[in-house]
Amino acid sequence: MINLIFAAVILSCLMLSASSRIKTCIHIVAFQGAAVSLLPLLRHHIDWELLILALIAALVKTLILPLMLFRSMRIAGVRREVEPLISYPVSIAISLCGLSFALWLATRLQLTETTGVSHLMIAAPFFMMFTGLFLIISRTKALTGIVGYLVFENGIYLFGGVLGLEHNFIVELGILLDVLVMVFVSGVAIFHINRKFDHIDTGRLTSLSEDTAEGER
Amino acid sequence: MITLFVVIPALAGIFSLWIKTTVSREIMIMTAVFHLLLTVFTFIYPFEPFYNGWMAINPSSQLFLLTLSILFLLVGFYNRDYMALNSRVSRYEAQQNCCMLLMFSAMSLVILSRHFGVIWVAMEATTLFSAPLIYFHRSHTSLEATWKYLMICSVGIALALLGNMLLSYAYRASGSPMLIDDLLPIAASGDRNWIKAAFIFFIVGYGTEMGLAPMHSWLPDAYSEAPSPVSAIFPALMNCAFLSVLRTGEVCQAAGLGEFRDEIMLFFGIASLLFAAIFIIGQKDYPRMLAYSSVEHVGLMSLGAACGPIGMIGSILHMINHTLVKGMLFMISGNILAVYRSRNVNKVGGMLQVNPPAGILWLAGFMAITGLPPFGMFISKLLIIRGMLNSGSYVMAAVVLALIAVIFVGMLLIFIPMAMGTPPSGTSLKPAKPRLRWLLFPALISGLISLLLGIYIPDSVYNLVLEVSEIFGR
Repeated sequence: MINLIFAAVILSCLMLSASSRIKTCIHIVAFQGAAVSLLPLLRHHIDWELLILALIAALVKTLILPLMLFRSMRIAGVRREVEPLISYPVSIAISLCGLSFALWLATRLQLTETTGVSHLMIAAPFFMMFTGLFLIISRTKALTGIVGYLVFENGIYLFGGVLGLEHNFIVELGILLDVLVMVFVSGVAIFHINRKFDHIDTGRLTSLSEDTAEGER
Repeated sequence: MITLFVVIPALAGIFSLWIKTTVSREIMIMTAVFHLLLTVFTFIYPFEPFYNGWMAINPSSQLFLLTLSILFLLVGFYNRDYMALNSRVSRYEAQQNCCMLLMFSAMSLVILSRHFGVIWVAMEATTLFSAPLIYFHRSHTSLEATWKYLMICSVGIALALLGNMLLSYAYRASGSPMLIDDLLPIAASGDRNWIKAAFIFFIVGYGTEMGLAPMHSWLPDAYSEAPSPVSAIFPALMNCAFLSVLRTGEVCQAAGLGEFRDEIMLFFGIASLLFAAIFIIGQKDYPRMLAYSSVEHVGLMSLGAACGPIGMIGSILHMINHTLVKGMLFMISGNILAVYRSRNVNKVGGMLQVNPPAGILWLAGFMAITGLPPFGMFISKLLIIRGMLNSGSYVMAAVVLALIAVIFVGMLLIFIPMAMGTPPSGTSLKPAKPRLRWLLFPALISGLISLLLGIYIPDSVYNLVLEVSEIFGR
């Protein structure tokens, strides 16, 4: 059962790097959010604190964050494409390389004995982090950048869950709040980018670099 | 009591957003005064730790709080006159002051908290509150800088979260305590490889916020696009990140990984100096030049922290001096911008004729930032080099001195023509309003403090610096 969920997470990451529609991407992030935040419930013996935390995390990651993303998508009037800098077949190839790297890393880390989890379960968070960073780098739309950040953050969250680390209620809530504010602030930024530039193409945000910095505003 | 450091600025921020008048400028100053008084009060009266020691006062937090609140107070006065001059943008002023106060609150939380998780949450909060500040001028370029800052620093700090997880995994046998005071006694029992990995993630993550090369790419854009009160407050943000790095280094040291920590910090320090030297030479934009100079100085702080007890003293002193002097230079640069309406070095000249007080301060700032005597930075740089020589890395010391010399020449070629050259012809300069003179007053004060630290360091301050450097560089 658990392995199945992890396989689904890995597959969803592959889908992310192959999908051409932002809407699909946001749906996938919502799914990953649900998987990541509810997984601790399957592994530990459950106490109230853990249960409440998992439910709040699930609420934020599967409902609130995707809704905020959809909202900024509507406001910015984004067309459907994610506009990759790297074509989809190449993206998938790179993702597969990332996956094999994650699996290799999982076998090298010798975590299976101490935590009692399978290699697949250790590879999944690494692959998620890889996919998140890859999305940030290879897609030009500002919204996909935030999606990438969320995937990356989910990966780290999952890593903590896989290692079976003690959750501290207040700190976890603080982290969730930070992610929420991050998505809110970047949503506002996207709104302004859209209004100022008539596009949210970060690939064209190039006026600030050493070549162009002439000291002129 | 200790929570007041965090709660009061946050409440003041929300209040100033609510009242939406120019009174918010005065609120900022009052908050800063209160914060400073509270900090001074900690020296007289020991504050109780809060919530099982999650927040506590110790010498390191006292020193960093003192630096923060002095800088914030000066910037508060500066901000009042700056906003009065820029009445065009006053629509956004309430938001601006609110974000600055919230950032102030988050920075105090970073300094006071003793729990790695809370430190992370507060560091991320400082990023999120400072991102809207960069967009104050509502220009295309400032928006671009905001976006870069938001993405790069968020991802960077997320890496530090991974560091948190690795650290807590390294101490799984002892129940993964994340309180620094719980961690230090049992530090040696941790899994050394995982601690090493954690430290690397911490220094990359917090180093992004600190501006260490090669993670500094957001910094020149953000510094040059932000309004000058915000740029002047950024050095305090770097200090918070530096403190976070030092704290993780403290755990490393206690775990017997001091040498490993030093190697990593040396690497990032040298890289920062190198990048700064490359980009300062021939820089055409003076706020960007100041930004790269910040990269240089965090590099020096990192180097000093890696070079034994003397280097650590130098590093801490350097932190204080850099905060004051960089704050001063950014405040003056706001003044220059108001007079010349250009950020191009070639379009600014003859400041000594056009605006003599600003010209004199600009030259004094140049002497202070490059570490010429009698300013405080001379002593701190000397101590850092001394620390390197003591630890036997002669080649490293030679390389660092050469890079500092290159940066010195680069900055000389920018500062001197700006102050002494001929005023640009054909452009109508704005006559210096009397209000502009007031803008220079906080800069003068912070320059004077740095000068004082170069001539005579009061015993109480020196003892505090010694205590702090003993904590971090045992």
